[in-house]
Formats: sequence, C-alpha cells, structure tokens
Amino acid sequence: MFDKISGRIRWRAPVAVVAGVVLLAIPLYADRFWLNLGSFAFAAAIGAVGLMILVGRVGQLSLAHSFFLAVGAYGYIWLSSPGTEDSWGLGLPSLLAAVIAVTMAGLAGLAFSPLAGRLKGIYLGVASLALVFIGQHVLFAAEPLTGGYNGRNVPELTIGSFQVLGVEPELSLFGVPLRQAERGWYVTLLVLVLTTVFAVLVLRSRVGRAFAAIRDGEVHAAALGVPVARYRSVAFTLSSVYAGLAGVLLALLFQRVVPEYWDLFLSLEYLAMVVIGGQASVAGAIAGAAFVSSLPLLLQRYSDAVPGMGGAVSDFGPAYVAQILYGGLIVVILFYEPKGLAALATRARKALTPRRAVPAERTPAS
Amino acid sequence: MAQLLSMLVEGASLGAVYALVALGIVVIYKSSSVVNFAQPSLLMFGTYVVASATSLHGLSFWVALPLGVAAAAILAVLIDRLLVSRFRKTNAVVAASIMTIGLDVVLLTETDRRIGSQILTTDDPWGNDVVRFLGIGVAEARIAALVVGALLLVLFQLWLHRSDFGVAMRATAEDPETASLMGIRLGRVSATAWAVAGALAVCAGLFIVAYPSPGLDTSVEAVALRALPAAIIGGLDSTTGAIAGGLMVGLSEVLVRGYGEHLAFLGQGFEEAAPYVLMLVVLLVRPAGLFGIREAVRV
Amino acid sequence: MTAHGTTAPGARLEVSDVTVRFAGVTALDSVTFTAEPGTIHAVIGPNGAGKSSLFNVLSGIYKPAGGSVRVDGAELIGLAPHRVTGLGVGRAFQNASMFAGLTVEENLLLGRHRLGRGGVFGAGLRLPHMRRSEREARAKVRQVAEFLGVDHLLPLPAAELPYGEAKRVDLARALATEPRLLLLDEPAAGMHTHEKLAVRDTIRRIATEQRITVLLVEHDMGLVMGISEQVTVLDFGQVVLTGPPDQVIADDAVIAAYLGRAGAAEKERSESEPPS
Repeated sequence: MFDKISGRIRWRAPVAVVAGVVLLAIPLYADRFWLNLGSFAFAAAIGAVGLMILVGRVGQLSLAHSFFLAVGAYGYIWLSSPGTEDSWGLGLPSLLAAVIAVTMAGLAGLAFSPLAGRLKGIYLGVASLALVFIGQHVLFAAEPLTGGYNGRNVPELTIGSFQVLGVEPELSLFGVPLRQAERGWYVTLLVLVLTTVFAVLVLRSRVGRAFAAIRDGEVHAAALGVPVARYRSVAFTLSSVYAGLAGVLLALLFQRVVPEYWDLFLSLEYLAMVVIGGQASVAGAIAGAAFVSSLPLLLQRYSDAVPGMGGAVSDFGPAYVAQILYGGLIVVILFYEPKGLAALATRARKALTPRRAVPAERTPAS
Repeated sequence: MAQLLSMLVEGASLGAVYALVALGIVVIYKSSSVVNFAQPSLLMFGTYVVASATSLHGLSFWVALPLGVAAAAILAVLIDRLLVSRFRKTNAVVAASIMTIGLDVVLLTETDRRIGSQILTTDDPWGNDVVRFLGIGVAEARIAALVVGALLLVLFQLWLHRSDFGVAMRATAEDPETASLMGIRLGRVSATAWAVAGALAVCAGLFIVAYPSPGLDTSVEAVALRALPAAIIGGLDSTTGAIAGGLMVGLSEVLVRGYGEHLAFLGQGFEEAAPYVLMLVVLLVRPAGLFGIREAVRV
Repeated sequence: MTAHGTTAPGARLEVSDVTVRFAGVTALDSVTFTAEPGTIHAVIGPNGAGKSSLFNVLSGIYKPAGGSVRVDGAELIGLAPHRVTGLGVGRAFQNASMFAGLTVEENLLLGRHRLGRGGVFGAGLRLPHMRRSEREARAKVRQVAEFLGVDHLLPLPAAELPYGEAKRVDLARALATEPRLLLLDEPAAGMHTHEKLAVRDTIRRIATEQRITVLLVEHDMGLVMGISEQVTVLDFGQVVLTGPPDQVIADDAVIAAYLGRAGAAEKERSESEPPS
C-alpha cells in the first residue's frame, strides 16, 4: 500500500511541476489565438468539472448546465452594469458582482432540490430539460436583462482601477507585456486550479464517498445512514455553482453575450466534455473540456486547409463537423471505452509503471 | 366560446400527435429501460424521407409514406440492434440513454444540413382546406391528425393488450430476468419496440408539418422534443400516461398561445416553455408521473 | 477487548403486529416477537416466508400497512432508511454488495457516515473539524477491520473482493455504523464449513464482547441452533412460534412448516429426475 502511494506521488510530482511550468510559460511565447483558446478551455473546464461531479460521481444526469451557466453570466451582467432606462443593472463593484452571481447560480440549483433530490438518473435528465427551455424563454423575453436578440455587453472585471482582464495598468513578465489575452490565460488558469483542488478534496471526503455510494447502490447507501436525497441536491447545487462560475468567466471572455448561446446544445457540449473525459474523472473532464471547447475554433482556423470544408460556403462547415464529432464521440466512447480519455491516462501510467496496479476510477454501473 | 372550442379541438389534435411520439418513448422504456432521447431525430429522419421523396423526387404521398415509415423503423431497429443492445449485457441503462443523446445530435445535425433553409412539403392528402362546424373553422389536417392519431392510439393499445408482444413487453418491464427465463426473447421485444417507436414518430411528424404549418424545416425538432415532457408527465412506464401526457402538452401549448394576450406578462412565445413548466409541476406532485408506478426496491 | 472501546449495550427490539402487503399478497401477517438486548435472535422459515420483507421493514425500506417496531422504545416505522441507522440499527446484506467504485476502506468509512461531520465547504477548504472527523473515522474503521480480521484488505478496490471476503467486509461495514441492533441477512450463505465456523464465532463475539443485539436470518440450521438464544419461525408471513432452539426443533408445527415443505420438494425432485 505504501509502495503504491509513494509510487504515485513520485510519479505525479514531477509531471505536475513540468505541466505547471509549461502552462505558466505559454503566454510568453504563444499568440493571441492560442491564448484565447486556452482561456475558453479553462473556463469551460470549470463547468465540466461541476457536471462531472453530478453525472460521473453521483450518477445523476443533468441537461440544465447551460441554464446555470446563463444564471452566472447574466447575474454578473445585471449586478455589475450601471442601469439605464431600458437595461437593468445595479452597478455593483464587479468583483462583488461576480461573487454574488456565482452564489445566485448555486441558489438556483438549490431551489431545484425538491426535484434534484427525488428524481434519479435519467429522470432528472429529462426534468432538467425544463430549465433550459424556461431559461431560453426568459432570456429572449427579458430584454432589459439580456438585450434580447442583439445581446448585451459584459462590464469589465476591475479591482479598483486594476483591469483584471484588460490592459490597465500595464504589466509585463520577462519583457512580455501582459494584455487581455495573457491575463485571460493566467486568471482562468488560476481559477481552474483552485476549483479543481476544491473538487478533488470534496470528492475524497465523506461527501464524495456518499456521492459514490448513491451512484453504486442508493438503497444500500441509505441503509448505512446516507441521506440520499440530501446528497443528490448537494451535488446538484455544487454543480450549478461550478456552472455559474464558468458562466461568469465565459461572459467576461466573450465581452458580449447573446441569449441563443445558452441553449440546449450548450448543455450537450458540456455533457460531451464529461463523457469524453470518462464520466468520473476530474482530469478527464478538464481534458474533455479542452477538446470540446477548442475544436470549433481550430476547425474555423484550419478549415481552409481541409478539402470540402472550405469556410462558410460549404454545407460541411466547422459547426457541422464539430457537432457530428461531439455527438459521434459520445456514442463511440460510451460504446467502446466508457472511461474515455481517463482510460488512456490509466493505460499510459500502467505501461510506464508495470506491476503497480493503480485503482482505476469507475464509471456509473447503471 | 367558439374560440375556446376551436382551441380545444386544435389542442387535442396536437396532443394526439405528441401522444404518438411519447408512446414510442414509453414502449422503448418498458422494453429496455432506456430513455430514447433520439426520438426527435427518428421523427425528423422519417419525415424528411417522405418530404424529400414527394417534393424533391416527385413521388406521390402514398408511395412516400411507407418509405418514410419503413426508413425510420429500420433505422430505429439498427440503433437498437447495433448499439443499445450492447449496453443491455452490463445493464448500463444510463449510459445507453446518454448514448441516444449523442445519436440524436448526429442525426439532427445531418438532417438539418440536408434540409438547410428549405421548407419541404409532403403533398399530403389533407391539403389546405378548412372545415367549418359549430361556428368554428379548423384545418382539415388538424381533424385528420385527431382522427388518425386517435385511431392509431386505440389500435396500438388494443395490440398491446391482446398480442403476444404486449404480454412480452409488460413481462419484460416487470422483471427482465424472469421474462427471459420464461422464454421471452428480450432482443426481439426491444427491436419490435424500437421499430414501432420509429414508425409512430413518422406518423406524428407528417401531421406536425401539415397545414397550417408551412412544412418541414429545422424548427420541427423542437416541437418533437416536447414529446419527452409528455412522456414524463404521464409516467415513463405507462402507455395510458403517454396519451394523457400528450394531450396535456398539446392542450397547454394551444391554450397558452390562444390566450397569449392575457398572458403577456409571461413574455411572447411562452407556449414553447409551457409543456416544460407543466412537467415540473407534475413531477413535484408525482415524481413518477401521473400514471407511473414507483419502482419496487429489491435488496 | 472490544473494538469500539466503549459501546452502548444492545437494544431491545419489539416487533408487534407488523403487516406488509404487496398488490394483494400478504408478505407479513401480524408478525410479533421481541429480541432481548445483547442476545442472538434468529428468524427462520422456508423461502418466501417473509424473512426478507421483515428485514426491509426493519431497515426502513418497506413501509408496512400496520404494526409497530420499537428499538429501545423508539418507533422505527415511518422513518427514512438513513434515520433508522440513527436509531442504532445496522445491516449486513444478503448479497454483500459493495460500492464497486470505492476501496474497502471507503466502504467501511461509509458505515461511519452518520457519525462523521462536515460538508462540502469543510472538505473543499480542508477545515480542521472535517480533518479531525476524517482522522477519527479512519482510526475507528481500522479497529473494526482488525476486529473482523479484514484490515489487510483495506486498500483494495471493493469490486475485486472474492465473495467470502466481501461478506466479511459487509459485516465490518455494518459494525462500523456502531449499531445496538445488528441485522444479519444470511451471513453464512454460500460458505464452506470452516468459513461457517468462523462466521459463527464472529457473531458470538459481536454479541458477547460488544453486547450488540443480533437479529439473524439464516438457512443453515446447525448454525442457527448452535448460537441463537431465541428462534422465531415464519411461514407464509405468519409467526409459527418463538422459543429457544430445543423447543423449536421439537415443535410439530415447525416440522410441518419446514420439513413438510422440504419433504415435498424432495419428493418432487426425485419424481422429476428419472432414476438412472
């Protein structure tokens, strides 16, 4: 046992250090495109980790993730914008607005707990569809909040006169100026690291064990004293907090948001991230998020190089290819390798450290 | 009064259509415990086959209809045999259901690409006539939907209660292991259920795109998706529930649209969210749906 | 040398007039008996007699149509399963089903779930009360594991345990809830003779050293008669008799219910298999 653990630590520490150095150094070399790609991936990964907890660790399906992302995004816009005649806003300091917006997403998730606690698995998945459609309706109807079809600008995040994701005051690192793209990379990466550590600690605790017990056998869990309904709604609330945080960050990165973005397809994208990542793995969810959120941007950029995809003229544009790929990957991964990308990592680790069996993370049984 | 009556007729007609789609979802659930999120894409696929055969290849409706029904049924059986059945061995019904979400995305993306910005008509026999009775005017196609829908629902219920398939399906829903030991071939039961679900979806789709709707375009998939709340409202394991749920969803949608001016505070287009609100209310009161049975626990 | 250090004495279980019906079938019909504190009380009966239904009532999974179940005077019926555990009722399951995605240690820690403290924030921010609670839980779980001789299994994935060991871990998990009444559902099912002897000794130690009341469902008559103070016989959902083992063995009604049916089954089998 001690061998195994020290083996894993010996393994993990250098990998983590190297990965950390690379991630911190990238903004010094990469251009705006790649930095933006990274920032979006980090923000999406926060949302994906939240959904992974619910789907992979508790065995509850939610298709409402886009709703909670929207609560975070529009909560932030509403709280931080100065109000005008035809657009709502409270004009709060933006950092405070961000914190309250994330809390709002959590409260929205908590408010759903009469259903999130009682409904199981797929049933919750269908019920949660309601939030997406009600949310879409509200977003299009509440023009003073969202600006309707035209969308609405997102106020900058500032602390005093410091533009967290802007250019003022000028900063530089090793002679490289830190502007929007560089700051976006570092800020989203920092938030991702903090929230990932938080998630890992929760999943390793009695709370995480209760989650897994509900997934593996809810009746047995209850008979051992685990309040099943309470933990189901705790997980749902936690996952909506993560979605809200991702929503705030995405809004800040977009700088302008439109209601139609937060639709059912966005929820399915997050589900794809979780499934591709292997459902129950934190690292897998992050990798899945990186893949799914980067794919359309990469296709956009390189579509001219692929015969037949040629930009906007073709039927087989980047959006088409991306959707077919997410949908197809959900099918293929569940069919051939339910542990997704996490399984690849496990295999690589096994190949590199023979004879040391590493307990694999498991996917929901049924 | 006349306005209410015409809304009730239209609501019942739309409800019968939803019931057909919801019934497919319920039959699949009962025979394999999988919630088929790909039902809307089966509807789109089969309806597209009919619409493209008539409006792009000039076939008559009566030739195109069996083609479309068969195409959707065959696709559904292929999905079941090639994909879903593999999950049955490990009893991974959640994974199988999530897989149908992925399938839905793929199939809808492809039908959307083929339809593009066109609006395809099906050259159906109901035409664009309006029937007048009791002081109201209702599109002939809506009456046809109500009559044909009701007929199909009755026939289907009779078949479920009288046929060997019905018995086998109910036994499978009750206890797959015992059913299998008693000689029921689970694979055949579920393949039949999928075929029926595909065929019913196309019948429903043809009425959704009939007059006064302009025809088949990509917005039809959002309509088809409302069969999911219909199935949940009635209870996923109840065929009677699917019919009741379908009617409730159809009526709520038509009534909310009809009384739109009185419901202005809810915002324009609330009828598209109304079925989902209804579903949440029903689930709060009855978590297993109106006609659903809470599953028995075995330890 | 008790595993828990100080343990509260076992609970008195009073089952009175418990009736359970499923779709017209009466699974339990006015079942009444009392298990005295710190004793081993067995419930026996042919298949379908209602033993599993009884256990499901006692763990709060089934809601009976009528009757009352008291644990040291506190009413159990109407409580959700996780609250029943709070009354001091622990249960080991017939199929010893482990939470497959967790290690053995984590499975045992789940037994201590209700005794632990701390939620999402305590865990995610590593607050002191949570760390203390986790540390204590691990220490207690190790004690229980040592008591049952499964401590060497703790780091293993629970899904990989062979059946016999899963049964022992399941028992340890039930003990980890610190029960005053322990429900054992066929603890020796599917075991070899020497394993059965070990199970018998373990149950004895639980009752004598830890003074926990044990309610036992078991098919192995040797085991039941060897360790039980009292035996309740169920047939067709009704109590045929409650009494000490020697009285039960001698009772005509029990023999009729048990051996009569077993005899009939024996006869049936010999008829359906032609002599070779």
